[in-house]
Amino acid sequence: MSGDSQVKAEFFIENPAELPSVAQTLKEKGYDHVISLSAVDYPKSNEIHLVIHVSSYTKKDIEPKIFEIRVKLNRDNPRVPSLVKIWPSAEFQEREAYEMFGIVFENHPDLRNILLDPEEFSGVHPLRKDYIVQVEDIMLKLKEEVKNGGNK
Amino acid sequence: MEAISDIGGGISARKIDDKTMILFFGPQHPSSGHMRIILKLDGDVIIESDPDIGYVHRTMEKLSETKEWIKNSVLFERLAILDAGNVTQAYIIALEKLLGIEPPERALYLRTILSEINRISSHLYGMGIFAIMLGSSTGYMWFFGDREIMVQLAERITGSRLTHTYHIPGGVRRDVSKSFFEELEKGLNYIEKRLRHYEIMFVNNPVVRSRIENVGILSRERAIDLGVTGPNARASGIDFDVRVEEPYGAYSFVDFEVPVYKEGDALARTFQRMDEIRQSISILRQLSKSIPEGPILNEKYLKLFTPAMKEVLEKDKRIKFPAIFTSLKPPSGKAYGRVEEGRGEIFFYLESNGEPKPYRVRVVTPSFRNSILLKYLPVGYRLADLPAIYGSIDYFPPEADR
Amino acid sequence: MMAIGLLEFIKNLILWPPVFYMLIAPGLITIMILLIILIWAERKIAGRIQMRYGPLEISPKIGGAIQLLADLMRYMFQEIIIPRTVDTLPYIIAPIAGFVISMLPIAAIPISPIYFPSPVNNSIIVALALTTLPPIFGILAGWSSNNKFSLIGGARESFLVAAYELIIILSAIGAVIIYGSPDFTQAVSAQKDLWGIVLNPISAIAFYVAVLMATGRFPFEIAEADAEIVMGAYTEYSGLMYGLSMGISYARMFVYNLIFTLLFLGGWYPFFTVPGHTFFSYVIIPATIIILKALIVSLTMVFTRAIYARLRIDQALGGAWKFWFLFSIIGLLWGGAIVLLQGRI
Repeated sequence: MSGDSQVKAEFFIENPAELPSVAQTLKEKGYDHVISLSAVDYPKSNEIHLVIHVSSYTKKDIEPKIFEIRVKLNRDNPRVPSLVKIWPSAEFQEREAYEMFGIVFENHPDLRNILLDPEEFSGVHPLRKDYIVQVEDIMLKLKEEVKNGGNK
Repeated sequence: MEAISDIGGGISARKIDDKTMILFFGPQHPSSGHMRIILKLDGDVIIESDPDIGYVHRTMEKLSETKEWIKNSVLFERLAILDAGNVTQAYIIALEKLLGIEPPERALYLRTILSEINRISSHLYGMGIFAIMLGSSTGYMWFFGDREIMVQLAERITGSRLTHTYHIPGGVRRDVSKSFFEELEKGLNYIEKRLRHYEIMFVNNPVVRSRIENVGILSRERAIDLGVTGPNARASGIDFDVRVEEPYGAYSFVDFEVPVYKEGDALARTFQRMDEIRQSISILRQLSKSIPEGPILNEKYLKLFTPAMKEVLEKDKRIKFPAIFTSLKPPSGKAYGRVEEGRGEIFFYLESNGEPKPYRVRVVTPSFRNSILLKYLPVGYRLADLPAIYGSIDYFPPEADR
Repeated sequence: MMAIGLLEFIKNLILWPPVFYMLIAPGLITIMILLIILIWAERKIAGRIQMRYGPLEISPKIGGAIQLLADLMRYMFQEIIIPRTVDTLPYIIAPIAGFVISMLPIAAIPISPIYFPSPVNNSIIVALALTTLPPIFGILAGWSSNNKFSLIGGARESFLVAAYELIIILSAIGAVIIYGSPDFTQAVSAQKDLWGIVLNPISAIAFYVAVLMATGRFPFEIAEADAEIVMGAYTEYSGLMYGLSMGISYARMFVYNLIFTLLFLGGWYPFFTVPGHTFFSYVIIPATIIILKALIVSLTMVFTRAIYARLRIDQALGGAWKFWFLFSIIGLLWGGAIVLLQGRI
């Protein structure tokens, strides 16, 4: 817990097609499992960043302990090669990124929704910034009442 | 995918293999938990298993984007009720990295004490569920009954039994009195005595042993490939514990072993949890002996306190927070926090853009990482082995679904 | 005069052995009372071991002993839901017939040396034959419910039937050849000095284990394993039908233990009479002795719930065929050896 607020390692990939070769290199270096595979939505620059955190069980002295890979994806049609062949531990997390952000992982063995109901959330990607959470509190009701011209 | 054909009258039928049966194990099932496993059975043998999780998904990652930084700790501790301390700690560690603040030493000790108490109660809970899945009602009642000791000790520290909200950026919310450590010692002695009873009655019970020995074997290579974490990984021979690899809290001040088993079956996972409870007891004893005196919140924040708040801190040893904390604005950047929870490693990734609310929070819970086991581990075993495997990996649906 | 005649008629009707046996002792009323005691004791003993009270709320002064009555009341007022997809007739018949037939062997089990409903010379064979009927209704329930869990439960039940029936019959024969008669009264009188459990302990142990398996006690609670197949063959039942299906295994266990008592635990011995009270001496006293013995054996059987987990079906079947089957054959040989030693051949 140093004062260092930034994750040190960051590997930024502009072209999604390069991801498998980068992953293969990292796996050979000793990063053997995926801790987190998710994304961050940047609607202003029309980008989605796929953020992958990998770590190692086998190599104790590996530096940094958690390696972060970022892949820039086009927000309108995010497609990226699947990593399941290289890191089988990514299987369920890729399914989650698929339903939450609409990222299509090419050659994923079983790309379906994992947490969300496929009927209710087909084409809706809740973790994108344009999905607005309906907050159920008293202020919301008041606003709606005002909008509807008061509660008669 | 089998072909779906229309057989007339608007009814479609799917041709299935004559030998196999598809069984929906859950969500309305006594031992499935809040999830469903779609099984394909050949006689009594499972040939395909597809876990369908998400029945208690609460979109925590999205909800956290609508709440202020400090309020999110209350949200996230609802991930794993019995491990609330550990979950909040991971979030607060990441948040402290963003804020660039460190808690004082006594606060670190108190956090670690709560972590270990949570770990014991989480393991007892997991083994209780495991016992009832195997049909051992005595094991279930014992584990659940004795969990109460740990819950009450956590209440003595934090003031609440389950959702503690104990960790705050730069420290902890309450201090403990001297008499707490006497009670802690009493509770630990009791659990230590009971561990022997559990071994006689539950783990070494011939029937239980025959049910869990050589069942659900997870090899080391497969465990690494699937990214399994926590006691399940260690029971398969992976010597990995976040408390050792990236020490947080007061773990660098105590001396403890990480138990590791090579067998990787359900029995090894059970012994692994028993041994981890023993290590937690030893850690708690060391901590209660060496805990230093001092403040429980960083000096930088103590300066912001009004005299009334200082009086409460002096008199009741608890922190009344300045209102300014609700609009806490960490500088833009990103940080991660990882903590060894009872069930494994919990990972938080925070991204801030300098607003009072987070831009993105990513949380990966140990149960979510272990849920992949439910797809690959039961294959080849019998239907009756499914509860044994499910229970032995200590899978907790609310934690996995987030 | 008419009234006295009517009372006499009612008294005679009640004391007519077939009615007395099926309705009073050891039939319906006794079994109902014993069910209350058994299930209450099961809950209380398990509660004591498991650091809890067990039932207490219904009647705190007697330790919640009539909890089962409250449960039955609840079952009675609960709606009986019959799913649309079930095969209705067998679905309704299965638990009712199962419960009734599970008590049928009582017709051939004497509880007194001179007072019995059906004076058959082969009463042991008849009683054992009748005990094999109820599982068929369990399998029927599983098949007619149109539910995969019920189907698996029924299939498990049928596997277990094949395994335990042979052990029960072989170990009963192991006792019968020592007594030299397939008649319960003669078998009991042969145990006047030495109980069957001493004469042939191997058969007694095999019989006991097979009864555990037959009545779904732990560790053989496999056909109704709730962690795996919800409630086995009875998953789709609700209300009173479910209550009946719960009672089947207890009623069967009690009937089996009556047979066990007569074959191995000396029946109504120590037998004594009170002079001048014929009915009291020859019905009430032996009946009480037998029912008490059977109750104690049943209590040891329900007690296993607090100790064991449940076995897997392949482990139970493997154990039954590879060990207990051979064990019961050894018991048979042991019986033959005793006959040889006594020089009766």
